[in-house]
Amino acid sequence: MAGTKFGFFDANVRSINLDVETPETIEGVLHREPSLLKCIGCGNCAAMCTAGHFTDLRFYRLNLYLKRGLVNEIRKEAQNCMLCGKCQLTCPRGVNIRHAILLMSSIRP
Amino acid sequence: MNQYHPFILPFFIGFLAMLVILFVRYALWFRGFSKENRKRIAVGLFTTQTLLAIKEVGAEALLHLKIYRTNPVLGFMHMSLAFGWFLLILGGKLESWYFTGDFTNPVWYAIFLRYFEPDSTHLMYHGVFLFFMELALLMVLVGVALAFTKRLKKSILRIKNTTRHNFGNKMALYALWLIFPLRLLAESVTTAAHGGGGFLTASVGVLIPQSWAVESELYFWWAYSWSLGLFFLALPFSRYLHIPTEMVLIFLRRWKIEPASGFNPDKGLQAFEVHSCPGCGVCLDVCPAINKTEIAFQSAYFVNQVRRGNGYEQTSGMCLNCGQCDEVCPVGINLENLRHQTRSKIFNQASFNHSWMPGSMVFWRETTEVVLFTGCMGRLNPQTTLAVKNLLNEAGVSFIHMDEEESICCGRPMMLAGAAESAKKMMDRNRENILAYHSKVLVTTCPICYKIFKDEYNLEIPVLHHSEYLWQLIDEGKIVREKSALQLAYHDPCDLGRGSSCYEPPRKVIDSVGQLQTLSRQREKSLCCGNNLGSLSLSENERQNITANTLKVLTLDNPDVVVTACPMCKKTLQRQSQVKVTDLAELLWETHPSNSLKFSKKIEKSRFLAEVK
Amino acid sequence: MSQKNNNIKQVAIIGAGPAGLQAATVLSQNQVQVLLIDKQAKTGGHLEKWSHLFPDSRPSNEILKVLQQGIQKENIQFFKNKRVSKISKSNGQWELGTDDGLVINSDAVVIATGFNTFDAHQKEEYGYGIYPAVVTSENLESIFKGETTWPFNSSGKDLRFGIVHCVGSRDAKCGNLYCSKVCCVTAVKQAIELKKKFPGATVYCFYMDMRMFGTGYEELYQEAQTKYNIQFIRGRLSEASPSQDNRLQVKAEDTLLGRPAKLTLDMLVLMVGMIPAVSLEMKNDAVYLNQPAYGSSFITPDDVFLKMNHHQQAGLFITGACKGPASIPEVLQDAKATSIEVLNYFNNKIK
Ligand SMILES: Cc1cc2nc3c(=O)[nH]c(=O)nc-3n(C[C@H](O)[C@H](O)[C@H](O)COP(=O)(O)OP(=O)(O)OC[C@H]3O[C@@H](n4cnc5c(N)ncnc54)[C@H](O)[C@@H]3O)c2cc1C
Ligand code: SF4
Ligand code: SF4
Ligand code: SF4
Ligand code: SF4
Ligand code: SF4
Repeated sequence: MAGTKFGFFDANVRSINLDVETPETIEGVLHREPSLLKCIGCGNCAAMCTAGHFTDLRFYRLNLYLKRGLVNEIRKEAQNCMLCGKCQLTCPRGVNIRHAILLMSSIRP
Repeated sequence: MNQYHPFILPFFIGFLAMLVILFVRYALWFRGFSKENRKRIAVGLFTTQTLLAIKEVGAEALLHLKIYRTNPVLGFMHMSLAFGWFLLILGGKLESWYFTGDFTNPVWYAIFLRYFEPDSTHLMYHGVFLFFMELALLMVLVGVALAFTKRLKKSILRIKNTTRHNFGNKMALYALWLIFPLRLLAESVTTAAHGGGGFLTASVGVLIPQSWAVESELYFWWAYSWSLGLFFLALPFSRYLHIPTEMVLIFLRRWKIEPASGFNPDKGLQAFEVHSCPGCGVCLDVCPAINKTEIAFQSAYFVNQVRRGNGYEQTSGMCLNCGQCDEVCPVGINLENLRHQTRSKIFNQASFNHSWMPGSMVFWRETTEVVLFTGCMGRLNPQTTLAVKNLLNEAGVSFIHMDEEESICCGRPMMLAGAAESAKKMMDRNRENILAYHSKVLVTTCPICYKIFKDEYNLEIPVLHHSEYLWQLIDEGKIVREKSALQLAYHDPCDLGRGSSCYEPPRKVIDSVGQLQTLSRQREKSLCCGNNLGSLSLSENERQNITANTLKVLTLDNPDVVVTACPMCKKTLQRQSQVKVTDLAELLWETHPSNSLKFSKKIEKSRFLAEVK
Repeated sequence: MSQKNNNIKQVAIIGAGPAGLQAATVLSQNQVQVLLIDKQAKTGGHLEKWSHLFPDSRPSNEILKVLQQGIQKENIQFFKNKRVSKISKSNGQWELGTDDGLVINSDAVVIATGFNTFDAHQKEEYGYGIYPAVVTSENLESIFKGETTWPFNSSGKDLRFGIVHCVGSRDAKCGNLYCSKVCCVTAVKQAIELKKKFPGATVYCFYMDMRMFGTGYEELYQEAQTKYNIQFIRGRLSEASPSQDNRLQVKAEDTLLGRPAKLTLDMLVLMVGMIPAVSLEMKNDAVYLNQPAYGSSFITPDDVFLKMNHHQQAGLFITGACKGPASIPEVLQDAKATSIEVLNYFNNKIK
């Protein structure tokens, strides 16, 4: 791909490139915790989150990062989680959030 | 007196090989012990603990009393196999000593004595020996027959689930099945050929023509020797390794060996533990999740997977950590610890950073009697929290609710996931915050927090679960209630009951306001609600299956209310229940004389807002 | 029971809500003798509880009156306070049994038992049953109708209301995976209604998705935004608790901003979902109308395209919201369609 288009560098483009293949690490997480596929991003998990009032941990966003292939964004946010499970006990779609976070915070970019 | 024949070679070689392999394996495991643990062995060796261990080996490794207590038929099977065989070996040795007058005869001589000395009628008391030996043989044969039927028809033994076997185990299993029938045949054929024999071999012997017996006698001894040799050879590589290992483990435990942290199934105590599991299956039927999940993950399978070195990655995360299998495991394997260590290995890449945790903001505050901690899950049950506050007010106890606004998790969920280090940091911060209130006692409504506060926090003040504190207030006459006719079923939360051995206080509280029902699974045997934080990867459906079953057990006798003492159990059970589910604090508050008791599913209007200041 | 004229066919209709009333009128107009049964004392079902209706804010009385006049004109026999618990069939005749032992015979049966609302006590963290200022959408209708009083000082200024969507719907934890369909538009309707009553008030709607499926609904949504300045926040509530000044303190997540929000409210309205009123069970050739348990489903039609009003046995029909969440216009149309099917059955056009 050409590095420049109309004078802009690709590196400056904010758009998520959905044309690239999903990295294996992400496939791995989805494989080990398939309930992630059920998430509708309702935000209940973040509303409930014990860490959410102090940090930028937003589980629904982590899941979006994961699905969009944005590996680098995940760990920084995920590491705030205390695994308390309050989100999971009330998630309307039955996502195994604690397990997912353990897997996500294991991802090495 | 001939004491040798080549047919003993398969047995002897197999036996020797077993000894060598066992020695090497045990030596390797021993090398995994820390310095302290080695010291403990050295010291323990010469204490009464060693004698107690020997006694325990007799009771558990030979008689299998613990299994007998949970399941008599299964216990009898294990006992007749192990103890019967032990008697045969012991008896054989004594008999051969008596025969030769020499204690140091070759090993095989005692084992194959009947071949070398078919007719013993010339000796005094030979009948006693014969009777004794053949009785032991009969005992083992009954055990074998039971083991065989267990495979064929599991239900006879009242075991719903039998452990699955891999190829290596099957080899050893078939050899084991053959050993004793072959011994019976070999001895009977020899009896037919040369006379002699006891009640068992003589009666089989008469059915065999003498001439045929003389000709084919040796074939049977060869076969018997081969089955023994194969079994001994396979033993160190099969689950039968548990037979010697279990005995060693008993000694190690008596000598107070401590588990090392980390996942080391081939080193130290963990090696002895995972190789001690006979796959008895006692842990299967008691598991609240048995037959409720797509993949079976129970301890019998899990330990086997750890031993094999694969498959445990998936199953270790499923278990609820309810502690039921730990409670019943006859070998006393520390299953919870094994699971935590496994998880810490699986998630060793996971890292957490809780440097943002808020510190205590207590600059000045009047000190109160009680500091109340309701925990993360408590936020989902405001009704319980309000009830506790109202009750404390009723009893005139001063209190401060430390996590009314925000809270830090107690750390136990983190611990359950195997991340002990991160948990430690959370605990430290919480500990500081708790102590900053200078209260006399910490009361928590959450059994999860309670367990870790008690076990790991080293707080300078007493920690009480609200059931304990409320009972104390009732006992002191600060809360007075009249007993009603309400039928109440109590659900023991895992971390309160099995986890913290707190069974009585909640029952006393409940009993003071109504009629406590007796349940088929209660106290140590109570079922998990289905949402224990111990489980990481059970699916929502699987959890709901478990909950449904637990509710079935709880409501079998049509209680008016199901009472529990954990915000998470309450939330979980309540959603799926047709019967009202409540916390014991709410029950106690709602039976206050000024609160007209409305135990219909819908509670009309609030009674609470006015009372809370 | 009532005399039997061999030429005149009889139909028993279980449930006198909008669906049951509509079917009763149409069938009666077509020379079928109707036996209308309801567990309540009055006809009208849930319609009787509502104040004004979406999408056009018409007083519900207007519709109710039309439906009730229909059955009065036709002299339809109404059995009140009778809860049907069992239906069975022998020799082409249906037999209905009620809780108190009454037996009713007929040639065909229409089940129009409708729905119940989700018990909001189960969402304890929202504070229903604990704080009086937390009410359900059903409660709010009765407040609108003047049957109950406002749970806050209604002469106060700067009132602030919150509305929570999807309470007990789309929630695996509650055992209800489905969307209750009408509560999004009901939320919009009630938000507008609140603004009409308290023009100075601020109203927040916390939604997961805005499901504006029907004619005129999206327009209503837009009107709520532009004309009434109602705040729509995409996100969930975590919990409600009492605030310092004895109002409600609410925590929520604003998912479009990705930030938590805190707000103080005078009233919180929970948009409770619809759950089935009965759960059918086949036992020994009879159909039992049980109290629904956790996760019970609505009544399933034989074919969602071709047999929307049939249930397993010839002569047993289902209509209205007993099959799943529906609006009043939908159930009225459905009841008419069911009536045609019943007539066809009597004329041996279907088996
Ligand atoms: C909060 C709320 C607001 C709404 N607002 C609107 C609106 O503005 N506009 C609109 O179009 N729709 C609205 N709806 C939807 C509307 O209420 C339904 O579409 C309608 O009531 C369905 O009619 P139905 O006859 O099928 O059921 P129902 O109205 O539920 O009637 C069923 C009847 O059957 C009776 N019954 C049940 N079981 C038995 C039994 N075993 N034996 C005897 N009788 C029995 C019941 O007592 C009841 O009278 C609203 C719904 C809700 C929850
Ligand atoms: S609560 Fe569950 S469904 Fe909702 S955003 Fe979080 S994970 Fe997804
Ligand atoms: S488990 Fe983690 S994400 Fe979920 S509520 Fe607790 S801290 Fe937040
Ligand atoms: S873990 Fe314990 S109870 Fe389970 S099979 Fe092994 S020894 Fe038996
Ligand atoms: S801890 Fe409980 S859930 Fe886990 S295997 Fe043991 S009995 Fe089963
Ligand atoms: S209609 Fe709206 S509020 Fe109701 S369940 Fe569906 S999405 Fe939720």
